[in-house]
Amino acid sequence: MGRATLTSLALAATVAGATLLLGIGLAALVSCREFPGRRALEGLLILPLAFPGYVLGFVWLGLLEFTGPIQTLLRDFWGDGAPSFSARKFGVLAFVLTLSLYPYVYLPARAALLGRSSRLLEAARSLGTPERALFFRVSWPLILPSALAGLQLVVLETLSDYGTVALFNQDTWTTAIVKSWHGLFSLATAAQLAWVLLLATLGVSALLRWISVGRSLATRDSGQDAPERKPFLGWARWVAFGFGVLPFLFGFAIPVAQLLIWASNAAEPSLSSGGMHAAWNSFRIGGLATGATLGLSILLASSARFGASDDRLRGAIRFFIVIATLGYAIPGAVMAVATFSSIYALGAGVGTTLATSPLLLLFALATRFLRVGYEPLNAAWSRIPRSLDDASNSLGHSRISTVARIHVPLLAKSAAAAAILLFVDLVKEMPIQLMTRPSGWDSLSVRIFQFTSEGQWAEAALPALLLVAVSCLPLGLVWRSHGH
Amino acid sequence: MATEPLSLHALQVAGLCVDLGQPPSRIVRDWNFTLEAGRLGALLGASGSGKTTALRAIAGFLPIQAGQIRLGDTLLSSANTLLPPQARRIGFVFQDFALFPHLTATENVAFGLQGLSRRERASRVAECLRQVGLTSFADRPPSQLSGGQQQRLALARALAPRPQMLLLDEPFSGLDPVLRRELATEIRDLLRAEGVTALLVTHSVEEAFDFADRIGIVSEGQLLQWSSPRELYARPAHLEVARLVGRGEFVPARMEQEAGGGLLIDTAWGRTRLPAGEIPPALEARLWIRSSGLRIDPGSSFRAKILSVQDLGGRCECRLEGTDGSHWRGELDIESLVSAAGDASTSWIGKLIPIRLHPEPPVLLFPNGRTWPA
Repeated sequence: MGRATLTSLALAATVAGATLLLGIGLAALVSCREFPGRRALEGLLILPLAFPGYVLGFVWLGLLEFTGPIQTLLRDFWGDGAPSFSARKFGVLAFVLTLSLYPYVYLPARAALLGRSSRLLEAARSLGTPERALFFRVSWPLILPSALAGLQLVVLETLSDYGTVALFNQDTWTTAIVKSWHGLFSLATAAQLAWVLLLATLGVSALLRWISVGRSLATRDSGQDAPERKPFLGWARWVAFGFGVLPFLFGFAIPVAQLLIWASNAAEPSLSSGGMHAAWNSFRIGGLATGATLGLSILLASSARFGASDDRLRGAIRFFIVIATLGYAIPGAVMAVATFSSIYALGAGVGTTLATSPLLLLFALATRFLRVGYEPLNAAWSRIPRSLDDASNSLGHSRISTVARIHVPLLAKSAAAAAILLFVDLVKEMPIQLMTRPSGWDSLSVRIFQFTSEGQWAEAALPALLLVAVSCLPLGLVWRSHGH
Repeated sequence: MATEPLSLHALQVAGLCVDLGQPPSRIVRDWNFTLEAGRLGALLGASGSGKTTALRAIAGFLPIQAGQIRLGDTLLSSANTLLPPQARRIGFVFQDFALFPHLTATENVAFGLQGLSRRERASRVAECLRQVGLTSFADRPPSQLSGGQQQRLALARALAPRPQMLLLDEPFSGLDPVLRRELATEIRDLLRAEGVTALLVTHSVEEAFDFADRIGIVSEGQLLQWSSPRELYARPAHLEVARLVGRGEFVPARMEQEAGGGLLIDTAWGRTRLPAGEIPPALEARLWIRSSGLRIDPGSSFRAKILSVQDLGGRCECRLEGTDGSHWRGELDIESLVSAAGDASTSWIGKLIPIRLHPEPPVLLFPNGRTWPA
């Protein structure tokens, strides 16, 4: 337990620091400077988001293991004197998690940098700020709040990660929960551990929120110009390009290439009947859970709008929404344990019936991912000024007619976007599916995890490629929601 | 009232009280006014004074806690009646225009036209767009229109269903000053030509006076005065009305009964008279001297000290101090100033100049905050 705590905290701290440096560094590079390939890199740098941690993790394990291409190359070069090492190390794990999570910092930091008004920089210059100090005195305070919001996601994801840390044989809170769950099969121990992890994630969220509260973002009016990018000259251009392109290579291009190689070399076609069945299950549970979660999200987001006439009711609704969307801060492993505990509290009969049907899985997924659907819908509602409702009423339309003719058309796009985001998150999700699935039920993410925990990289490659391809779907949406 | 055809669609507001918020606070307190049919009214006041709240109550967006709102014969709102906005046939032009972003200009205007045949609707939409000069922008969404065009479109949309009355909530505040003035007069002329009863809410004095022939002055939840622009200027019913409508200062004054029955008003700035028969409530008061209310008069025995002068070309704006220490700011004729204080403008400051009150019906302010005559 002490060891798990140490590893969890050390991992969260390491990944947080590394993503902050990498995310802000890359954001500053592509939005403040000009160099060859910059425009392409701006977009390419978000692609690692398409890799779930446990997929990026097994690819790098495969690349770095004794029989993998890198150590083989070293041996070919040096012969028997070549260094051999194990890839299942804390450092490699932190490297992999950093690669898959840095876009959470990169995206908001870049949006904040692009949102700066050049007037601000001009004002700072006219007040005598030297060129070198401009970034830290003007830009840095502007991007920090949004970068911290992104960092909150990074820490949450790191603390709640199960698949990647399990692959690297590291003992953390999540692996401890799953072990006591599967190995000892003790719901009580798992529940106790789950409490610790839950409190830690909620504490981290609250802390980061507290740090960033009250730091409002100064943004540029549409009429003003963004600051111009200063070009790099000479060899510095290529150094800049090299720094920018590495995260894309390590986090996306090389892993995709390796997956393609494995998939084409696989001894047995891995989308055999079992594989096809798993893909179908992923699609089905993803679709069902998307529908259920989206429905709940629409109800939740709309209740905030229509219950607004009464202040007390509004307060109650806001409180309820906070509770209902808290699930996103709850690690999948904790959510699975919690769902089981509450089901068994209903009594053995009901519990067993529910536990053997996919309903339990559906329930756990919807509870965890409600916020993913709620946020875009809530944002869409807040972009519909109440004066539109009033205008429609004053032009003779009833409330229902207003919903049909104004609200539905204006929300439709965001609902579609929320559905895509949800579907991808749900299909990628692994620990809840692993722990609450009915026996014999299989999905893409569960199958990848099972193959890779036995080192069968080639068998896992095709399902992994499928997941990555699906995950690329919403990246356009993510890209647009951050300043495009 | 209902028997007179002219007041058929007059807006009558009586004893209107509106509460907002939690805990409820009274934003609108006991307002009474009538806007006759075909007239253009304006409610003028600072933000937070309650004018927009009153407008939203008239539109039916808010319930009222006491009083009545009537349009012609119809009771729209009372403490226990609330005719929903969609049943009021009152057009509303919003501060943010509230144009439907997913609909084109044509579709926005057609939105309120229900129960018409396709042809009737199309011809009414075309007519409304022509009236506001947007015919060639009919197929554009609001996002591709300029601020002024959006403003016109919002007006066309509100007028299309031929409402019984039009309400405009700070409709020009999002526009630049030149365009604002131009549109205010343009829209005023259009509404006059159409004979529409309209009520505008604004915080800009010029806008209210450019637009309306009935103006209500609003402050901190109270309707201080509702009357014609001329009346507001000549007989402000309240200190704040005087301050808002015209520039000037209140200076200490004493009243003395004269032998002929009249009343002499004596100040350090000059004397003026009230005719016999008008008796103010007390003998200590303050006299309202407008920014145009002083003249330089070499024959006068009253003196004031120049504190500052700003040459405006032809006229000049001065700050003066009276012999009793009170201050006045306003405009003086530059020729008279030169003859009274000398040619060198650098030596004007501190000079004493002879002054005289310009004869005008006086406005007095008493210590209880009341003005007279009210």
